[in-house]
Amino acid sequence: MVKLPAYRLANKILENFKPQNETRMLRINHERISELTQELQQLTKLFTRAISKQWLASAVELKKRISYVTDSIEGRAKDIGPDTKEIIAGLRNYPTQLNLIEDLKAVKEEFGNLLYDQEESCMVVFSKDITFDDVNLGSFELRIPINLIGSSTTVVARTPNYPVVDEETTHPHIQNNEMCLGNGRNQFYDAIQQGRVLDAFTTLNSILITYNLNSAYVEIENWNINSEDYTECNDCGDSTHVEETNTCEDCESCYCNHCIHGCDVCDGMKCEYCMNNKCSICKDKRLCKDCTHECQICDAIFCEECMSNSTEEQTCANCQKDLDEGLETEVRPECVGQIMLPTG
Amino acid sequence: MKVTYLNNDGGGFASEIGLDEGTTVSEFFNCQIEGSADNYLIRVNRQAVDSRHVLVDGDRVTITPTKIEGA
Repeated sequence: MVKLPAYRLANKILENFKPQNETRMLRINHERISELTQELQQLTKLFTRAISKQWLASAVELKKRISYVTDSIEGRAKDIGPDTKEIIAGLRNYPTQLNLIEDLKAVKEEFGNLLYDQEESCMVVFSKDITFDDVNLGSFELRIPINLIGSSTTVVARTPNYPVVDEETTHPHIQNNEMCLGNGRNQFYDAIQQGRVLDAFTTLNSILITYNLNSAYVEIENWNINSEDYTECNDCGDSTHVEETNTCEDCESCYCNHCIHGCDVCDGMKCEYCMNNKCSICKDKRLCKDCTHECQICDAIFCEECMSNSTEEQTCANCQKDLDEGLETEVRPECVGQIMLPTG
Repeated sequence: MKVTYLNNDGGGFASEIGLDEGTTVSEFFNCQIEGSADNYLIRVNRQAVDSRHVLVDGDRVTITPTKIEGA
């Protein structure tokens, strides 16, 4: 990277600025129309002479040629028309060399530096060190290409301090050297498209120095976690500090606070898999395997309260009632969570 | 007198604004932006100025948020 005088850098920007290409096309169309017009004038003179000399064959050929040139002029004129308004609108925002020079001088004064990367054709400024909550992320290079294409802008950490959980993130809002502009997106792109280089760089810097907790690739509180102190929840996969994990009393796997549950009967701490039982009658109770009773007649799952108390056999209250009445027991729909349909 | 105003807080296009002679940056800001001037960097002709700076005819004024939330 090198230091360039502001006027040289401004000239490089102007050479590459997109509206320059659009005005070039406009100029080409106008030049071609001018050439065709001159040809039309010559053809018209020849045609007039051919008619006066009664050179009818020549006159016919000249007429065809005149028609062709006239159509070409008309086509070129139509091409210019719809583009012109857009081009003129763009030219209103076209930066002048003076504006660019003043902007570049102000960038250098604002940041204390402004370099040109010859290999990547980028303007580069170095930010100050960025620190959030005692996490020092170091200084960053704000790199804007001289063709002022916003999407090619990068923000590169000079001494990367990656979080343990993600080696592609160098800042809460920068991943793979691309800054997520968020609320600054419109402001940055407006500045870039209008050649306001100072505003473009200061917008990037304003985003760099602002920590948005609600929308970070990696939150600052997780930046310097020691990977040995964290383990993965066996259910949701989230990193959980070992002191905050819970062990399922049945399968003995580790889970985060969100994925461990208490049995409504014994209060035992169990995971979702080991807790996946509900009483078929009082459906609001979650039961671990130890607190689950299975009716030997209908095979439905029940809590202890819903099991019959009048027999040592494992039967639910409904099936026991049938037994007591001497009825042939059958699987009741309500025992398996279904509703009996009326007969007849 | 007239100044050129570039609102960087979402707008971006320059507009000419007529002001009374002796208008300060603070008075201009209060007319244009709802919020505290502490959250903005105000530049006149690309130079950072304080709120007491008096604007003159032909000045170019930009108002830029100092903190912008990324995503």
